[in-house]
Order: sequence, then C-alpha cells, then structure tokens
Amino acid sequence: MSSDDRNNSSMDRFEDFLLGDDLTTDEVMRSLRRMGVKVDDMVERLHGVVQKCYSEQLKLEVQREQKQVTVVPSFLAGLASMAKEEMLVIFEKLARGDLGTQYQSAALARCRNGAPNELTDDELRSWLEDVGSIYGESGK
Amino acid sequence: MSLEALDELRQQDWGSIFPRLIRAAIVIAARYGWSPDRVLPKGGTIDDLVSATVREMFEQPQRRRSDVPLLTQLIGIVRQKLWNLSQSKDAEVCRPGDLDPMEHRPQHEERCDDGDEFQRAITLLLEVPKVKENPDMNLMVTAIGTGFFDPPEVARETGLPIERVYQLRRELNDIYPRIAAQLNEKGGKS
Repeated sequence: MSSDDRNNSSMDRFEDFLLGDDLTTDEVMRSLRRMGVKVDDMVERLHGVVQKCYSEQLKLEVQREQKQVTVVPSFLAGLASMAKEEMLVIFEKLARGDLGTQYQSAALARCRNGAPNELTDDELRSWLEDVGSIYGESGK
Repeated sequence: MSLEALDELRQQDWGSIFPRLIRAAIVIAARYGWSPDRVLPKGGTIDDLVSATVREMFEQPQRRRSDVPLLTQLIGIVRQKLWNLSQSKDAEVCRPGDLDPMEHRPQHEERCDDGDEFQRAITLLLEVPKVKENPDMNLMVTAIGTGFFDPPEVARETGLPIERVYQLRRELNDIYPRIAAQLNEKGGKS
C-alpha cells in the first residue's frame, strides 16, 4: 500500500473526524494536558521555531535580493547611442525579470500604460534612464 | 519565498494552529503505537516532528497552497512524515531505557492493512467501558464503523442532536489515543 493509496482511507477519515474543529484553542490545550502532554512547553518551543525560521528565511531573502542587485549588468551602458531595437530588447529582459524583480515590476507597470514599442526613441531612453537611476544604475 | 509571503506566513495564528497540530500528530501517531512520551523511529519525538513540519513550511514555500487552510496542509505533512517513519526499517517503538532496541517489531504495513486496522480500532473502542456503557457513544462509534465520518451524517444516522455528536466527539478524542496504541498489540496479522 503506497502513501497515495492511503489518501482518504477509513483510518484517515476517522482521524479527520476526531480532529474536527469545534473546540476552542483553550479546550484543545486542556484536552492535551489531560492526556499528560506538556503542551504549554511544546507551544512555546514552536513559537521559537517560527521566529527562528522567519529570521533565517528573511536573512536569506535579503541576501538573495542584494545579490540580485549587485549582479545586475549595467544595462544602461551605451544607452545614449542605442537604437530603439536594442532598447526594446533590454525592456523585454526587464519585463521578464531577467535583470531582477525590482525592474520587472517597473517594466510591467510601464506596459500597463501602453506598449513600449509605441514610445519614441527618446521616451524609451528616458524611461530606461529613470528606471536605472531609481534602482541605482548610473547608466551611460 | 517573497518577503510578502514570508511575512504572511509569520502572521498566521500560530497560537491557534500549534495545539491543533500537536493534537493531530498525537492522534495520527497513536495509529502506529507511538505515544507522545515515546521516541519515534529514527530517534525524534512528536515534538521534533511537529517542529520539522513547521520548518518545512517556511523552507519549502512552494508546498503552500492558498486554497487549503494552513492547518490542513500542516496536518497533511505530519501524516506523511509519520507514514514515512512507519515504513522505515527502524520502525520499532522505543521508549528510552525500557525497551531493548534490538527487539524486533514488525513494520506497520506487515501487521495490517487499513480496512482491518480501522475495523479493529472500532472493535476496541466498542469494548471500552466509556463507550460500551454509554448508549449514545455506542451508537456514534457504531455509525462511524459503518462509514459515517461527518458529524451531520452521524447525527442523521444515529438520531442524536448534532451538539451531542460534537460533545461525544470530544470525549472520544480523550479515549482514542490510548485505544489506538493497542492497535499494534492486539489482533494484528503477524
């Protein structure tokens, strides 16, 4: 019998019946204490686990974001002399999130206000410069 | 995990989730003969298993489903972990200091299949004085034994008011873990 076979088995359904949620948290705690479970200690430890996991994941996420920012290529280099097609290629990369989620959000917001290929060369160049400066790219 | 998702997870009502998750782990573990004061196969405790489940939810956010309550998902992970342990080679019951670790205990799957196990659980429950001597409880457990698992269904089948079914379920919750522990001692196939 595989784990999948056990889905919704009679035992599972019986356990689900028992675990039905008509009890208040206090009632569940009292019921566990009656069974001799040191539930208060366990709950306290679990709150610690949540806090620790949150801190660890937050740290990882910030590190990921910082890494993403530092590895973003200088897509604004040579912008002044770029043809529209080249700028549109950069725009597509931004919209796909290839260069970081912070640029992606900005690009998608730009798309909602009109197709980028409808912009003039100068408008597109100006938009890329603005986005680059907001997120720290010096450009040109 | 995005910062928003991470924050959303942290802000869950863990104070309400934890006792329910612990209770679920105890009820499910009882099926395998593992009580809260025992060491699980591979050395952990139910406490450790619940902690690992919470940790997994933070570390593998892709497992999170927005259409399923978090508690239900966590119980699913607990159930899977306990099942995996029951299938492990060292799935024997150990209590520190009082069991010979070399003593062979047949694996859960060797002992029974699910249908047998469920019927044995019902039979054992019907033998418990608190069930046997309480006509309402007896009716409810019998109804469950014939495949009624939703409280409204049980109420219809037994003629008991729904509130009475909920009350009896609370009492059954206190009785069941001790009975479930016997599933592995009485009437197995081995």
